[in-house]
Amino acid sequence: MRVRTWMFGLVAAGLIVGCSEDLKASDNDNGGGDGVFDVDASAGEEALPRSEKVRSVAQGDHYLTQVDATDKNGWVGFSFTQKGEAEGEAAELFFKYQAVRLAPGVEGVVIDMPFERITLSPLSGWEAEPEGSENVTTQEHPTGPLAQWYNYNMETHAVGVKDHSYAVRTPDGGCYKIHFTGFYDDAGTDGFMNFQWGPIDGCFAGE
Amino acid sequence: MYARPTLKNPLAFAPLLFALGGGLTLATPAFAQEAAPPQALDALTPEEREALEAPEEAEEMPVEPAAVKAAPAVAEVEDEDDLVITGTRTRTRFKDAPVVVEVIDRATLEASGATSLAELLQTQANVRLEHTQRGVNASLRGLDARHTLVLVDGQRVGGRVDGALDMGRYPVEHLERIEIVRGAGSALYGADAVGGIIHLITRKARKPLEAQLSAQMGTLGQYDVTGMVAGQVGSLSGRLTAGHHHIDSFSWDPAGVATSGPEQRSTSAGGDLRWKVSPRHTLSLAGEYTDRKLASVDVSAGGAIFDRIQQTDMLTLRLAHEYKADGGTVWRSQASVNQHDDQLLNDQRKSSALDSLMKTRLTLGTVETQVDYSLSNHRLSVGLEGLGEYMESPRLDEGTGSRIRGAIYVQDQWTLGGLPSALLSPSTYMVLVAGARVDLDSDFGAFASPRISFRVDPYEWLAIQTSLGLGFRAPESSERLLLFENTAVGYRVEGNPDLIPEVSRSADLTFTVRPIKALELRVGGFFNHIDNLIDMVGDADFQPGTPVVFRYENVDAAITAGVESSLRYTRPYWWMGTSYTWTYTRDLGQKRPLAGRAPHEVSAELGGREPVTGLNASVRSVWNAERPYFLSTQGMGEEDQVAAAYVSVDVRAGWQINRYVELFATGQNLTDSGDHILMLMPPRRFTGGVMGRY
Repeated sequence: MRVRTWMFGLVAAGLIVGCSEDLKASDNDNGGGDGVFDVDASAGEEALPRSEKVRSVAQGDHYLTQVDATDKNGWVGFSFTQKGEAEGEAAELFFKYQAVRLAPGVEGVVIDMPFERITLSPLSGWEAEPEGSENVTTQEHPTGPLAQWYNYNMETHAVGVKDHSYAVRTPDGGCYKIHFTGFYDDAGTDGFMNFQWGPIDGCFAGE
Repeated sequence: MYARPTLKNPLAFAPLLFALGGGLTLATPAFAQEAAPPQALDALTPEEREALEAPEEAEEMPVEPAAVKAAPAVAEVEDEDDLVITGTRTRTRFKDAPVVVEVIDRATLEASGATSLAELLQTQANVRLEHTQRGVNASLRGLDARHTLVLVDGQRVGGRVDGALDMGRYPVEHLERIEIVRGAGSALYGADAVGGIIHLITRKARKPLEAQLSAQMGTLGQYDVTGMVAGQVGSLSGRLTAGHHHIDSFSWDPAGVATSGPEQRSTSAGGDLRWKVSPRHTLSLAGEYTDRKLASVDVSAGGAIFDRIQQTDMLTLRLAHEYKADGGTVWRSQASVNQHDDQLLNDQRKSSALDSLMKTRLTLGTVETQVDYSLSNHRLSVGLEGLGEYMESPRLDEGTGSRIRGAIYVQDQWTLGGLPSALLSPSTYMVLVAGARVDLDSDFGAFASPRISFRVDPYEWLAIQTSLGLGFRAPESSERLLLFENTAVGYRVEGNPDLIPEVSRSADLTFTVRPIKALELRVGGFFNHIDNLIDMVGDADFQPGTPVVFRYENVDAAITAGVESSLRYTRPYWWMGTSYTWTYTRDLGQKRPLAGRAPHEVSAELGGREPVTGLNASVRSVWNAERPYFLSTQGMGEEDQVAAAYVSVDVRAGWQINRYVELFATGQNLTDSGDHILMLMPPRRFTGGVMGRY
């Protein structure tokens, strides 16, 4: 005990029933499995690249991806082409906690339609990421095309997703639809970007 | 090792507090005198002898066992319980108290079937309880729980969470009675006595030997075992009590994972030793220890499931001395140390990313001395108090916080009489109590709080009591020094060292009518205006990943007012009571009522005992009208919500088989009131048990 009063200790010694033990968290907290990402490749399901930060699973005509963006100091890159984590120029999207930005040369646009109904890419409205986006911190308001994907409840501090979807086109002519589905992993830990995505037709390279 | 006392470590003042208390005892000329020889007592005038001996007689008169005593909840209690202390900080006969005091005596505690103070107050008139995950808070007269001062044997206790004390941490087996005084009491007790005072008075030995053992178990996994042994040998008397309590967690949302109320497990032990050194000198040493564990399941907004465990250890030691001099003068000194250790663990399931463990230790040391002089029609009280508080918590900036406070208070209780008046009879009883207190605090400086009370009994059956006073609540150390960030949830709370005390101006007027001894009707009105309310103010600009910054500020003012009425009828073997309270509250800043306050409350109780068979029963109930709440919605803004009106009913039935043994059964919250959001009361439950008494 840090209490350093000898009188207190002397008197308390005769009266204390017993000091309680210190509490501590349990150790076996990682046995929950991968949930929806627990893919059995031997059963014929598509085996997708998996890294420490990014994992994906095929769901019919689209994919479900989860990015561990809990590190607020570093961007995690993702490539639609590689269907997994990517670095540098190979990446098409970058994530840092709640911030999402497009890679240089990649453009995006908001689509106010349910994700499953999107089959063609939009003809207009495409925007690129503003200059300096790579330097934005999680404490600043992001301003890129995909920045406003969430709602934030100041009372409960919960991050919720908005209903709309996005289209993204890459310099090599690929177009993809994307819809954010959540900000938490199976254990409820924040900072895990979950999104559905899939290729769409009618893609024209940006000018 | 002994640490040098500094303002940063006032805990080290503890031995000085004991030494000072003992020194005051030893150094007073009164103590230094030898006890008056018997022949000197015979030389006293009848008035001096009465003033000197009457309180002792009242203390030594044995309490009638509850088996043969129909115990009113609020009425003139008998024997040594005829004395109350809270209203004027001096022992006064209940029927003569200048300030309205509500007394819950030991018999009523046992008849209620309650195992904790929270359960007892659930059906107590004019006490608002708020059930939270961290405990049950009590408030008076429409104010917050942080505006209620809780004392144990005259000493304040630590361990407030968000400014409020958990009533569930006080098991009733240690309590002799509870005195409740409403209205500003800072003129005598200093900080926090704004809405009123709940004073817990622990049990004392009153017979050569007495013992009590009680065991009960029931639904919701509830079981309770309590015991007490007490006795007197010569000039020594002592009491030991112990208890163990358990109740399972519960949920009003069976489809969800989260619990509404925690599993509770507590063990407590306490005792006191009194030594009547001489007819004039009494020394006492008392201590209580409570080990309490709450376990619940929480779900965060993000869906993370936490096993939450709160472990609390509380230890209190008190040393007191009392000297009764000639002429009714009484000198009391007391020193106490209270230590409150709290651990709060949030253990995330399926991950450890959001696990957190917070440890807080609060040590509170007090020393006080008070002398009461009787001078003709005046009862003059002068007191000095010193308080040292030391807190260790990772929530505090620099990890620790401390404060020291000193106070001096003066009160004159002037019994007016012999005043010529065409309206008042010669037997009119009038008493004027005027007092003031000055607190000097290391944080906020000096604060003066006066109060004046007046009572007149123009007729034997009518008493009119009124009081005006100033009260204040000192900013908590956590409100001033907090620096706590919950990155997982996304907020940071900053303390504000520039906070000033909340200040209240209070007034009340009460009429008490007793047309016959068995019947009492009371009607009174009250008004409180409170300024500089401390609240958390958050940033409007926020982003996920950027903690929302909340900061404590003096931002608001509020008014509470109302009418309290009660009717009590007591017969030798049965009693009944009912009350109605209308409460008006207004948040002057937000221009709306205060959240959670019911504008109307009705309570009723009925109890009785059949002396031949020994059967007894009591029922207590309270009805609360709809209560407004203002809850945040998704995104920004708030929406008004209204909690439905509810009724809570508690019953107890017993069979006193013989003088020593009673079988009993209880039912709590028979109407099964409660919900998962706004009213986290435990659901309906039943227990059965046996009590042995010697």
